[in-house]
Amino acid sequence: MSAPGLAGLTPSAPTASRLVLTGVEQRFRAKDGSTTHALGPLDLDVVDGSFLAVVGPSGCGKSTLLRLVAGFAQPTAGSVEVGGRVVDGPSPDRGVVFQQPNLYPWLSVAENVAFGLKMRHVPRAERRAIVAEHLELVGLADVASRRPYELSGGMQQRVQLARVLANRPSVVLMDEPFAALDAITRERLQDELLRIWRTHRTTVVFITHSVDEAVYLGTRVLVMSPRPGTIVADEPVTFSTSDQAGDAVRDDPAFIEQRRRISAHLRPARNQNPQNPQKESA
Amino acid sequence: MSTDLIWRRRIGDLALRLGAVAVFFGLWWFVTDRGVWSEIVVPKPSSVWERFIQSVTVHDDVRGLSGYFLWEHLWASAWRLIRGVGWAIVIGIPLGLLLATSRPVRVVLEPVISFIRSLPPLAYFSLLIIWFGIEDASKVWLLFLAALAPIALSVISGVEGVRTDWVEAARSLGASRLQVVGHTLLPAILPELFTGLRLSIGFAFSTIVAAETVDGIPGIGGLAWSTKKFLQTDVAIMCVLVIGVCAVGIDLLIRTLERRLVPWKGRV
Repeated sequence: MSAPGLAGLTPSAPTASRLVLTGVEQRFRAKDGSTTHALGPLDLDVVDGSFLAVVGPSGCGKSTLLRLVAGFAQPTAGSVEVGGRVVDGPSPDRGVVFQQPNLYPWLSVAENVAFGLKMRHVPRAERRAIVAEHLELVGLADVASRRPYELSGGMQQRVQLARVLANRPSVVLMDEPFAALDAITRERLQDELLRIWRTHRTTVVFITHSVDEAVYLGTRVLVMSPRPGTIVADEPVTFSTSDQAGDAVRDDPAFIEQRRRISAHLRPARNQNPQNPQKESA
Repeated sequence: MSTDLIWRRRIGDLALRLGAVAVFFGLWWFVTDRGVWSEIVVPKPSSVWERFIQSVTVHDDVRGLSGYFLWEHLWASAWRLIRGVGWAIVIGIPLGLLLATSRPVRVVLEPVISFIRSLPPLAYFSLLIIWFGIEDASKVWLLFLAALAPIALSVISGVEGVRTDWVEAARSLGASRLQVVGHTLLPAILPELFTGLRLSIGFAFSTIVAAETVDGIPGIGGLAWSTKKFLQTDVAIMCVLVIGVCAVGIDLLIRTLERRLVPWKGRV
């Protein structure tokens, strides 16, 4: 399936989505008065069109990082800026694909994809065209009138992606979107995401606990330490910008080498079989 | 085949229920036929049936019972119920949403609602009569107050149970706070709202006899209440049976409505 016209999806200005974090820290206060230092201090500058993959052990604050960029939470210290503007709340300009499928069961698949457009008062005819285009993009045009709970988990995640992309955000935030899927579906969705991203190069922040996924999809991989999460490694990656995919990438010695190197950064926290560090427990 | 088995079980259950009802009526007929108790304490099934026939016909120049046909009694009660519960829905849903989303409002009003809910409706009925008169207004007020709390409280618990990622998704897709209420919270609480609705109609229904003790004719509760004066046990039993059948019927109607409007219940 070839990508249809995506002219509207290209970022309008070269710095529209530059993501800058300065001295960001997040602490949570528990009921007993104690505070948990969850994240930071963190400094980060992500240029437009990047695919930033963030890996780290469970509980390292990588989801917290994503929630700060989304505007669902405010940092205890420091600031988050997107396109030169301080993030002070959620915005349709920063779309979020959640870990668990969270489509609205009272709406059809097409109505779910149209949700953001409707909230933003996009005229009906235009809405219909954009929805059709994005359902086509994720290969789900034939289930437009079904209810979300009639779809598989993988299909629901594709609808979530379509729902976010239909809004034409300048940054797409993805919080372990494929973690709950089986291995085969996960790889298929990774390839689909890669195909879509290669076509329109929106900035993506992708949280994952899989080094393999991070190296396969990212243009840049961040490795985070256990709590409080800070950056312990920051490497550029080139596989997602090549025109290769699937086994051609995964069997590439350079891919295997980079995956091994990045896994090594995680090893003290992971305490797993050093022979095969990229294997994740499913 | 499993569907075959399910059907066989359903037919079996139905037969068992009908059998139990038959046994009940059989026993009733038997003890009254033997004259175990006087006709005033336990009337014969046939006298109750005769009263039922009287209630839907003109006999000795009298229309039905107490001057009204059975359906006129029922409609009078239903109309009070519809207005009482209707206002409870119209006021209760926004009130619940306000309570669930605004902390100051909740701090002030939640104890008030809990207080009203814990009162037996008869406790404040005299007040309502003094304020609104002995005609329909005080009865509708009584039903409204009985029905309000379950609806408002179900909205509150519904909103509290809404998945935070549903709300966050709406916000990050561009919904304003008001749009989140209308397009996410309201549809998301429908399952709870239906539970609250069933509860509140049940409450209102059990209050209707109390509401119709004063100037309640026409009205099925008023009719039931009037029987004590002339020891019309047969009319009282007929009223009880009619009220019970109506309550079951209303519950069935709401459950059917719920299946149509909330097809995702239990599937998310």
